[in-house]
Amino acid sequence: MSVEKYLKPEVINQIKRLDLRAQFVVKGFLHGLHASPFQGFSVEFSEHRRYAQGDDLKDIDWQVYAKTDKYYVKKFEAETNITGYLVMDLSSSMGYTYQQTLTKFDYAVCLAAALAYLMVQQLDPVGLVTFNDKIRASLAPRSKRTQLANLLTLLSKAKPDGTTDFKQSMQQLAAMLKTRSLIMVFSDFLVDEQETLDALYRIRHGGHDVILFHVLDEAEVTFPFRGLYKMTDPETGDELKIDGDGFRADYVKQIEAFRENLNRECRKSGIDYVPLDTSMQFDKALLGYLLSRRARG
Amino acid sequence: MAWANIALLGVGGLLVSVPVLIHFLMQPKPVEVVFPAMRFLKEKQLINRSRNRLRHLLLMLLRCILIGLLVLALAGPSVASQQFGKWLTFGGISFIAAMLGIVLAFSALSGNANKLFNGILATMLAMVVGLAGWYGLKLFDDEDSGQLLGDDGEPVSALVLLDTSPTMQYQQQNETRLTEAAGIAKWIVEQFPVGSQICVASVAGDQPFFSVDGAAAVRRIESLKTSYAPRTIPETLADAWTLVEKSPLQRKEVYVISDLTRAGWAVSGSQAALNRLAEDKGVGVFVVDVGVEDPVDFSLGSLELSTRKVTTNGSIEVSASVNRIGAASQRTVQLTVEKPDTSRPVVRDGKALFPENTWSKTQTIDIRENGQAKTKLEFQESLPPGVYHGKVEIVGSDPLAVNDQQYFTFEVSEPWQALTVSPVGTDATVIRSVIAPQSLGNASFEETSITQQTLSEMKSLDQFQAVFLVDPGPLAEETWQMLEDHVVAGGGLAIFLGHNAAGLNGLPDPSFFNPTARKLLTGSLTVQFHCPDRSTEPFLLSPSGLQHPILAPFRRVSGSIPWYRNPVFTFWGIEPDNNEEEKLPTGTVINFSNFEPALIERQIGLGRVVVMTTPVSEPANLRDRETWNQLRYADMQAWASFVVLHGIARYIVNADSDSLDIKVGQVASLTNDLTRYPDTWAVFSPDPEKPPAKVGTVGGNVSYRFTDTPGHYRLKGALDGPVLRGFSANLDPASIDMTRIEPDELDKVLGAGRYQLAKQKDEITRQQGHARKGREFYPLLMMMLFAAIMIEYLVSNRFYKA
Repeated sequence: MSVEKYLKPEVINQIKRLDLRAQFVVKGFLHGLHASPFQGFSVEFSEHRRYAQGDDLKDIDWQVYAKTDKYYVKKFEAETNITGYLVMDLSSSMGYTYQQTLTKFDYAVCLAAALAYLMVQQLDPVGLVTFNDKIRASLAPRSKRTQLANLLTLLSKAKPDGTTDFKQSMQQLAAMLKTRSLIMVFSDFLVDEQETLDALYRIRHGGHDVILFHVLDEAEVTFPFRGLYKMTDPETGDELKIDGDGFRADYVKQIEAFRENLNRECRKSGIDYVPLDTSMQFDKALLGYLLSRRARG
Repeated sequence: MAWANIALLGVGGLLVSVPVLIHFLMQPKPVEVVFPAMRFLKEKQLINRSRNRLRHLLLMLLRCILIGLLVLALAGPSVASQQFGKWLTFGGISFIAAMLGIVLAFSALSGNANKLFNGILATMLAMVVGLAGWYGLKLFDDEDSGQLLGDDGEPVSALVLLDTSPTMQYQQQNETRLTEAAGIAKWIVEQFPVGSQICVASVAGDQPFFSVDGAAAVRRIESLKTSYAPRTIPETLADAWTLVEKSPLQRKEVYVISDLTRAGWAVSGSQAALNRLAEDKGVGVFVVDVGVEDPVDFSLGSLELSTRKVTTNGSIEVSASVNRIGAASQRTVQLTVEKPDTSRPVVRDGKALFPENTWSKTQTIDIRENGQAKTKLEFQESLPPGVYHGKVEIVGSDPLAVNDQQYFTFEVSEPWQALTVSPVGTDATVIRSVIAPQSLGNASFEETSITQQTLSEMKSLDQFQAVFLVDPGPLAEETWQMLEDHVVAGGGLAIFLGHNAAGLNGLPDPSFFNPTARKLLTGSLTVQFHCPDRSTEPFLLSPSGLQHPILAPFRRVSGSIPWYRNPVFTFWGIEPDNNEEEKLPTGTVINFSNFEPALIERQIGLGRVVVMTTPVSEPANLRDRETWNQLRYADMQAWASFVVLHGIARYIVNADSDSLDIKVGQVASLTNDLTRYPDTWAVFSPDPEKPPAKVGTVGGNVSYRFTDTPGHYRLKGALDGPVLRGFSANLDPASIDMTRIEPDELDKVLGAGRYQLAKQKDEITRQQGHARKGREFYPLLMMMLFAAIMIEYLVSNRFYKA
């Protein structure tokens, strides 16, 4: 069985353990990379850490040696290690799924776990922040292997709930950041668009790199509703009776405009924007991360 | 408008409210779902909610329409046939108005369309609604005129008019049109409910009447025969409708069974009754077409006889045109003349027997497709005096045989005795050369020439039928009187005035002024008229028309008569006498080019006088005076004066007076000289089944009016032995025209949209149903209902797709 299939959300959904999910996603992704234009990046990734004969001994990172009993070149670590923050939106809208497979939150968690796994594999410190109307939980960045287990435990316990206050949550996050970090935000951004962008500008202004993983449910992108529906907003509780056929064209146009606008505004301020929906394979998100990381490497 | 189950309309009104109730009480339950991206929906919520509501209203409307249509269909509305189209138009306009209204409502509420578009729509809607309102009011206002007449079982006052014109003799599939028409008429009559009043009419001209019962009507239909002198259908219909419209029965129907040939439908006479029929829209009018679309036929045109009266040694020439409708063909034309048989006609066993032996001549002719050919047959036998009947016919089979023959009758008499009188020194040979040419052995006249002196010595002119006074000089009173006696007794007199009539100074001799002379000369001689210039401005004979029998031979060449070849330089002026006492019929036959009379005729007693104001005896060159004219010297080009002379001669002996050939339906009138003929006659019709009719002499004539069958009519009388006379009656070939009437011509007679046209019995039944019970909307409503169900299904599926 090919490991690429683990990049499919419906397959990953069958795997209940989050650590396995992350492992499968990353392995599937890496397997794909070997046969991709990113092969060079992949080789550099797997070989550059080891100490080789002829390397300068002063460049050996003894701390890593103490942890892993392996020699790593210190200079390399100084150049490439990035502190990453996985910032998860925990609002109730993230718990939405139309097809009853992966919720947006599940998708985001799966993706975050995979990224965490990947980063830990690279000995990059990775931390976690969950928020809805404010920051609900956080895990300081570490590059230890145990960090992954802690992170996954926290992620698996998180349940989407409450409303979103993205602005305040980001303000709190900004205050938490000590060093230049890579902030990976997983959210549906179904909040005020300008507030979202303002908050992200602030973090970006603090010298941090930001990747936005804009996770939407497949139904939120394609609007598959036909006929009469009574729709309820999970966060506000607002209700609306609609005729799906009448709304569809307008809705799809609006959501595309929304995503396009986010993309445009993010690009202006150097923020990477990765639009996703729960039907998409995980490699797109991982690739977004790797591209961002290489740009910084 | 009538309803089969009007009570259903009330129930239906309640049922229509069901979808409305359902709409409000059982609105569809929406599927409840959670959806986080609500803010993208809220912006369009208002518009979409309106659209949604409209869709629901449309659906509700559709369901109301569906139930409404079902109720309407079951209620069974129907309207008079003539109103059906108007109701459809009204429905169409209303439908367009409804569609415009719906589009406008959608447009206005959706907010997509601009104001200009909505404005245009609203204007159009207002116009269409206005139009629908106006049309609807007009329709309801007009509806009384299209009342329905109940069911099939109600007694009817019916007029069944059969076209019995000669074209109905056309045979197709071994059946004449008349037979087929009679079959359909009987079938129609048998369909009428008991108690119906039925008038069977034909174009024969009978007085219309209601038959006692259906069986009597059938017998009347069976007795109808071809009418050879038919009235037109509009005339007959107008008369018969006047009877039927007075019937107390409410339901009235008119059936016209015809081959729809044009001649029979010519509009003539008063249109008042037909207009009443056209306006009474409660009357069902049915035209049953038994005609033939593409007929083929041979027909014979009217006969042209060279003469109607010949002498025993004369000949007769018969010509006619043979016409063809259809492909080119060859046919034999046969001329037959009955041989004299004094034993016939005679009635044996109730049937008239006619002479059987004939002379005959045939000629074969080729006729082009839809063309015409001329046939000319000459008949000459040494015939004893008497009346002879002949016939020209096209031999061979023909679907329409009635126009394949034409009949003629001519009289054979001894040569007429003519006396030519001229003063000594006047050359009268021109008369002989015209009336009794030496070169022909069979001249109609036997001519005797005498001088004027000899005439004055004669005591009587009884032995002569015609006297020609050629350039007479002064005559004694007794001679004038003898001439008048001759004319009064039936003799003919032709006077050609010339220079001999002049006395002193060129004025008329006084002897021409005595009363008898003036009577014969039709007036008093005045002066001599001389032409202004003999070479450039001579007088010419200038008849104003060619109707007079003397001028009949010119009719065929009317445009090219060389009058200028016979110039006249001098003639006598005549001042007409007042003639107030006797009122003798007098007329000018030919004028000169200066409008003075050249040839004058007068009827005196039984005879005729013809006076020519210039002589016919003038030599070309004279030493002592100038010649009066050049009428005498004729050559091949200058033949006109000879034809006039010939015509004068035949006219004064009454050669062509009796009309021996008439058209069917005309009154035949023969001069009955009691010195030659008996007072009463038995008239034998061509129909051997018809008993002979007795007619007497009235005013010197014997007349017979019942000439309703083409053929020979024979008059049989008795003096010392049987005396036979007769005449022929022919169909007018122009009346037998197979050209079919155009629909607009039919509309002019019966009114556009006022009649139903049918060919087959089932069509008649259907049309009857339409007229009696009106046109039902049921099929149309069911179709609309089906369409509404389909639309409702599609719309509801579209709206409520899960």
